[in-house]
Amino acid sequence: MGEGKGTFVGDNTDLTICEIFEGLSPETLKDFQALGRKEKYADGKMLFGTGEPCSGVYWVSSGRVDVSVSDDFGRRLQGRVARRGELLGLKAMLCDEAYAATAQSDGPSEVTFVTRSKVSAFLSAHPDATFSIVEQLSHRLGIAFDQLRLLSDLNLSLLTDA
Amino acid sequence: MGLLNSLGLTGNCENCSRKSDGFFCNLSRETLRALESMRFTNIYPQGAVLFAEQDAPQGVFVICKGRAKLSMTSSEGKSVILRIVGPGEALGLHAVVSGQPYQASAETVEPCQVAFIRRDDFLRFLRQHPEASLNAAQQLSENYQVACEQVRSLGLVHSATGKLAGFLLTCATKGQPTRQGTRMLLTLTHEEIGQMIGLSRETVTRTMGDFRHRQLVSVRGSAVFIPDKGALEHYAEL
Repeated sequence: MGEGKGTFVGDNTDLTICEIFEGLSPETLKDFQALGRKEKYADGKMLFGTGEPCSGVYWVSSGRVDVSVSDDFGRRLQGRVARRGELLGLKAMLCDEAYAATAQSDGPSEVTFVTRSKVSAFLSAHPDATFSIVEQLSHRLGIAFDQLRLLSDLNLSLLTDA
Repeated sequence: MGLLNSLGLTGNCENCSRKSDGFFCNLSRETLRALESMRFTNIYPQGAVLFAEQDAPQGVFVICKGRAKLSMTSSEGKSVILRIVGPGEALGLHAVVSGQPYQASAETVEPCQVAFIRRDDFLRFLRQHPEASLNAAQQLSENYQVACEQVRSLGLVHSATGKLAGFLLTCATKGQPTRQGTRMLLTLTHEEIGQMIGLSRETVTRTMGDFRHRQLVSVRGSAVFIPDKGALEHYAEL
């Protein structure tokens, strides 16, 4: 079984809902959960770093994970905290890219790691799961569009020629 | 078919001589055949509106040849370009999947060959072909990243230099390293760049001139070189 960088806790047995797969049948969800390896991360321990080849996806079971983007000089540019249920590394996996951010445990956390090849095989075998990802990404894109519209409505005239 | 041939195109995805790296070109033969059976191909002149903001989602439009711009209009009537779409990309994907009205308008910026797939057919196609769903997920994922970058640029970056530097650095991620620095092709007009980052055409021209003067960029035709990305990042308010 492929490994992340954390301390092995056991095969994934909990039923934490992975938000990107909301709406899947319990059987399909169980199939996905069974692929995972549950790992424990100490405070500050890195799950993956910017530029590392994508080895798989990480699914936060408990605790908090700090996700940040830094520039070439190591300056932190953007950051957010991922919580229980969030799946990290999906874009890198889908687009066959290196990780575009660094993920570090913020306090102790438990994270389920699923290797890239297992996720690919799972998605090929479960069209409903793949479609669920499409729906969730579409939902996120809709929110981003709403934000863009709001910014355009409220701020564009002020921003123009700033 | 005569018109397609005169444009150097084929009417068939499998044998298309202009197959690109686009999301809907790189499908297996079987999946491409399924897509073929449900698509309608049309040729559009420059400036044709494929769909308008708030229209009910009729289906997706896949660009086979040419480019189209995706834009939304503010309540004050100002246009914000979300992105320029090229061959192999689908337009209207979000609306078709979510069932919500189109969030933006799509207009061709040059003569285009476009394949149209009706909404019901497309959703069935995605459900039956995980490979196509994965490609759609890739495209949505990239669109989401671009949209987030635009939200950040419009909402958090306030200076013209910061916005233009950020825009150029984003374009540079797809550039090629050369001895003169990172090289990228920029086919957008200054007005179109302004509509993407919330600046007037004049401000884009003035700021680009300033960047050239400071040797942050050099321009040769439609090729733009960034000799030192770190120097440009300094201006980008990242």
